[in-house]
Parts: sequence; structure tokens; C-alpha cells
Amino acid sequence: MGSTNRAGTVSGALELARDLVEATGRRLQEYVAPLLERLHSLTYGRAAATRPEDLARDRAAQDTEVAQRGRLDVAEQTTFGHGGPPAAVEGELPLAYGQSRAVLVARDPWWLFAHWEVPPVRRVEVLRALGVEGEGTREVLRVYEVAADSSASWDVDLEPGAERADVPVGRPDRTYRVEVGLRTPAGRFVCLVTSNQASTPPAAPSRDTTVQWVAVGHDGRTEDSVAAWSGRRVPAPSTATALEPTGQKDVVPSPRSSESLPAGPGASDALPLR
Amino acid sequence: MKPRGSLALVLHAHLPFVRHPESAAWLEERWLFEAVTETYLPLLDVLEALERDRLDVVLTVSISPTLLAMLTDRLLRARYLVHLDALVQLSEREERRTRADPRWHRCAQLYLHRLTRTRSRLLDHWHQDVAGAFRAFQERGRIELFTTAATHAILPLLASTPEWIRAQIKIGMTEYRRYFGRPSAGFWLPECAFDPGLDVDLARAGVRWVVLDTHGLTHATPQPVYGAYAPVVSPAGVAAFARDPDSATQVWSAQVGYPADPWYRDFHRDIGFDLPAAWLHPLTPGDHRTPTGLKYHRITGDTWDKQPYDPDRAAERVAAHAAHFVQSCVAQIDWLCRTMDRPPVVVCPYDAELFGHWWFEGVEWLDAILRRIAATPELGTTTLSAEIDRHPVLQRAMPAASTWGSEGHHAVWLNRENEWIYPHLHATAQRLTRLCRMSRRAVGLPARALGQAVREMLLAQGSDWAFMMARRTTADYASRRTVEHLRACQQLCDAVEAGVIDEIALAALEEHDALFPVLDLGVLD
Repeated sequence: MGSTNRAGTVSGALELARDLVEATGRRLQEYVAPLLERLHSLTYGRAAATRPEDLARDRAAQDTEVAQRGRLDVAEQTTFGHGGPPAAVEGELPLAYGQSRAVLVARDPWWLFAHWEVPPVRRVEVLRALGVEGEGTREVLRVYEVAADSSASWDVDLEPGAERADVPVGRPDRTYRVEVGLRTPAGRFVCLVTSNQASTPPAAPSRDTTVQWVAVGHDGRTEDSVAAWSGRRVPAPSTATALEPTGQKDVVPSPRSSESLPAGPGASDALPLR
Repeated sequence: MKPRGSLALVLHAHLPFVRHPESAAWLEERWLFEAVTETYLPLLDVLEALERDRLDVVLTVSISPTLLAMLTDRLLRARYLVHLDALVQLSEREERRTRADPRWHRCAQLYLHRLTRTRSRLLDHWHQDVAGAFRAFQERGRIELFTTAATHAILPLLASTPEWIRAQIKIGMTEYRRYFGRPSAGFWLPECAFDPGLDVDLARAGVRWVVLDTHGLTHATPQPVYGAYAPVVSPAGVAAFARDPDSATQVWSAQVGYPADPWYRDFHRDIGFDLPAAWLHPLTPGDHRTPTGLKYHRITGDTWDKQPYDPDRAAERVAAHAAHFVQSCVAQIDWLCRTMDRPPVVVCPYDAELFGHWWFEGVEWLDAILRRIAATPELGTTTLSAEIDRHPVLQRAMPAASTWGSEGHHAVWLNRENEWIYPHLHATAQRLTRLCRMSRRAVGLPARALGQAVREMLLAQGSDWAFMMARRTTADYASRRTVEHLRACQQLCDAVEAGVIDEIALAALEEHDALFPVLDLGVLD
């Protein structure tokens, strides 16, 4: 390990982190090394991007620290689902369908939901091919962040028999894919099944402020158009606060920032409809 | 004076398909009966009164294909009449029982009057054809009707089987056209659930516009210049409107919204739980307690000690709340006009059943706000198609993934209570798709079996079941319905694959789950 005073500077901290990577083995290196590369480029003077096409790259760099922290928490926060219907209808549906599948859904800007099925014969084939190396393998869910500028991935150890999982990713507006596979004690990963890609929704207004107008016809066709737009934007909508009749004109509250999602009640939960 | 902006009231009328020909004892069939009595028929009365008074106001109303199937079903129509008769008889008994006590008698009189009138209007005026009455209002230009997904499936949650997204959209559009004789310009996205890319399938099906929750537009890319107060058009050419958050809170919120006013009728306190079972017969079967719809208490406050309902005080609150709503809209339009260079449109989508059923005074409130708007020159009403026709130049933007559920995404329909359904839905849908594609030339019994398998699959996909499981309201029924439709679908697939189809069992299923009579198996191509 490095000397104690290296952490006092940014470059020293980077060196220290590299030492840590070497010391903690291959798996950690797989995801920390790309992050360190990004942190390095951020630290040594890349100009802040302002054009829409630069936003994704810019955002990736800003999120590096959050991503690293979030990833280390993932294994603890992931929850697994087992089995089928509740007791009232238990046993009325097949336990498995003999399909090889993994389905990934973005539940909200911060969470993914995955469900999968791996036919037992597929596991047996893989373990047989691994031979001695396969002893002590663990079944894991490998989560990939899919982006042009990212090769980040991390593993979540699966509970025995798990067939679905709620996976926190903590990052809106990103695209992910998962693989269910076996990881050997030496760190080799063999994929059993791959999911589709799923994108977490954005949690804030887009930073892309370009404006294009189109004319919409009755037949659904659109044509580029020029609108007489004054150039003024409507501020993000507010949430009502004055609900009692007041007899005053200023009952509509002034707009507030919409950094977070509108917390207005959902149609289906404010009152127990249907 | 030309209106400076418009209010677009959008009512989404939907109930899951519940029809149990094997027995009239299923209480879940009453969801339809209650909605007809308390929401749909009163709403038709309001539309008729507005038309009679020549008021220039319009509404946009979606009628889901499952609701349409039930409203036009002979068995359910007949059962509804039996139910309504029993309610009228109960209200007559109640009117007599409460004569000595003025606290309750006023309320009992109110129900007797309403139910007697409802019955006579249903039979003599609407001729038991509720859907036909809505169609007639559309033909006279008083409302714009539109459709939704075949069984109200949350389309983004079907992303792993995209052919079923297309089937849900296409069947919804087909059913609308079959009944209303014209294409539906709009498409109600179940639970307002949108994902980028869905616009392509919607455009291909001929959909012109959809409605999203606020953040579907405010988080769109690029950022819409008019926020939630003008539609945008997606890259595939589908216009997207956004729900106005202010009016949503005012009407939806159970804590601070209008329906929470202490003078309004309490929904939960019902004579079905207060009076002896024998007195309520046949509305409460045996000792099983169930609401009757006759409720004599007002919300009062956060207390179990509910006070008697006072219709006159409630009517005063309706007038006050209607005035507040319209005044707020005018102030909002005024504020928006300071920034916008086109007339803003404030879109207010609500579940139709909120009005009258959950919020007893809600239909009167709708009537009151529409009458006030008609008398407010600076504010107009619009349908969503008319809004696009008037202002066809829109900003191009891709709306953001969103729903109108709690937390704005899928948390209600995808959580620990209901996530077990998704592996089964996916696997069964995938199997059926494969089978239908392999059996394109099927005729006779195999074609019938596959058609019924598609119906069962569609019914299993409805958002209502996951919602009920999440809310733990009638969760057992929702689980059972999900499992039964999946099992029926799987058994039909087994039968087709084995070439051994039990025609009697198939006919029984066709009779039980009788909807979408015109079903083309090519819908899954």
C-alpha cells in the first residue's frame, strides 16, 4: 500500500486508488478501473460541455462518484422474489416454462426489475464445460450499464432459487442490461441468459433546449413548420396549495422548480378507485 | 370575447371485464351496476341538460373496450335491472323506516327519489342503452369519445412481448370503430403509461393523440417550451397532452382535494354495514356484509363519529368548489398568457367513476363548473382533437417514460404484491404468439380455440388485477382472475398443440369470457 500523505492531493488519491485496485483483485478492477479513468479525465481539465450532444458524456462524468458509491450498496439493497402466486391460488400455474429467458423492466428512474428462467439442463452443460474450475461457482446477476462511453458492470450474488429481483441502480435516464450467469471462484463469468435492454426514465427536465416545430395533419402526417414563438418558456408547473375557496385572484401559486418528480397524487391511489 | 385559453376535461370510463354467467352471486359484478347508477347515467343527464340549455361546452370521454363490452352485454343489462329494482325497493323501505327521524329521513328521501328516477330514465329514456346514449352525444358534437387498450394493459410493461402491445392497441381501436362507426382519434394510455417508442405503434394504428401525466411532458426531450400547457408531437407523429398538476390535486387528493370536504357524503359508511342483514335482503347475500350505495353520513372529519349527511350544505359546497375551480383556471390561464404566445390548454383527466360513485357530489360539481365556464368569456372548453385542429403547429419532442400512478412510474403495478404475475404473463404470451404464427391458416375449432386463447391472454394482461393486488382490495379475486385467464390460455395452447380440442369446454369459455367478437388472429403478426 502507498504512503499516508499521498491522499492529500488529487493525483495522490488516484495513485492510492490504483494501488487499492491491484490489491483487491480482478473483479473489483473490472468496474473501478473505468471509473478511475473517467475521474482522471474529469480531474484534469475537460471543459464543461454545454451542447446537447455533449450532455450525456458530461452527466456520466458528474455521476462517477455517485455511481461508485451506489454500486457498492447494490448487493445489499437488491431484493429477490421467489415462487409464484399467493396462497389462495398457489400451485395453479406452472413453476417453470422450460424457456431460457431474462426480462428487464425499468420500474422507475432508480430501480430495475428483472425476472428470468434458466432451464436446469443449461446450468448442467455450463458446469460440465467448466469442469474443476466450476467448483464453488456462484450464480450472479451481472448488471451492465449500456452506453457509448461506459462499460460499467457489477455483480449481485443471487439467493438460491431466486427468479426475479428488484435492483437499485440509482441513476435516471440510463440504459441497462442484465445477464444471469455463473461466476467461478477465479472470477470467470459464464452467461446463462441475457436480458433485453431497459432504460430508466429521466427524473428531471431535459437539458436539451432545442426547438423544432411541426404541423400535424388530420392524417397524422407532420411537416416541418415555423412557429411564431416569442422565445419565452413556461416555467415548470406548480402543485396546488390553496385548495379552499378564497375568493381571491391569486389562488394559483407561483411556479416552483421541478427538480424532483411532480408529487401529485396518482389517479389510482388518491382514492381507492376500481 | 374570444377565450384566452381552454379547459379540456377528459373523463376516462373504465372497469375490468367482470361477467359471471354461472352465478349472479358474484358481488364484483356490482362494480358495473354501481358505476352505471352513480356515474354513467347521472353524467348522461348532465350532458342532456347542458345541451337542452344550449351551453357551448364540450367534454372528451374515453370508454374502454371492456366497459363497452359489459354495457352492451344482454346478461349484464338484465342483471343490472334486477339489482336496480332491489335498490329501489330497499330505498322505499328505508323511506318508511326513517320517517320518525328527520336526521335520516331527508337522506332516505333523496335516495328514493334518485333511484326511482334513475330506473325510469334508464328504461323510458335511454332504453337501457348507456353506450348508445354516449354515442348519440358524440354524433351531435357534444362530446368526443375515444378508446384505450383492449383490456387496459399497461403497455410499457408488455415491452418484452411487443406484439401484444400492438394487439392491445389494435383491438382497442377496432372495438371502438365497430361500435361507434368511426376511428378513434385519441387513445387513452392505461394509467397514462408511456415509454419512448410506444408512439410508433400508436401512430401505425392511426392514433392522433394521447394524454400523459405532467412529467411525461415536462421531462420530454427536448424540453417543451410551453411545459404542460400545449401538446407536443412525438417523432412518430403522435401528439401528447399533459395533465395539469394543480387541477389534478384539487380533484384527486383524498386529503386536501374537494372530495375531502367534511360536508360531502362519506363513501365508506353504508347502511349495508349498519342494518340487519334480513332488512337488506337481497342486496346483502346471507351474512356477508357489502355496501348498498345508501349512505347517510357525511365525511365530518378524521373521526369515526360521522354526522348525518345534509344535502343542502353539500350543495353549497359544490357551488363553492365549482366557483373556486373555475376561478383558479381563469387565474392560471391569465398567468400562462403572460408567457405563452398561443392560448394555453389546461388538461384535466379524471377517472369517470370518481364522479358520483366515489365523490357523491362529483357529477353535480362537473355540471356546475361547465355552466360557470359557459358564463366565463375568457375561458372555453375544448376536446383534444379540436385543440389540435385549432393549433396544429406543435413542438417536436419525445415524451418521457411516465405513468399517473403513485411516484409517477410503475411502483403501483410492479411491486412485491404483484410482481409474481409478470413471468407468467411473459411466458404465456410468448408461447401463444408462436402458436398463432404457426397456425395462420387455422380454421374451425383450432381457430376458435386460438381466438379464445388470445381473449384469455388479453384479460390476464389488464392493469386492474395488479392494481387490486397492490392495494390489497379484492386481491384474492384479482389473483384468481389472473391465474384463471392464464390457465385457460395455457390449456387452450395445450389443446391446439395436441390437436385435441374439447368443444364443450371451449364453448363454455367463449360464453364466460364473451368479448371482442371480431378477433383476427393476424393481430399478433
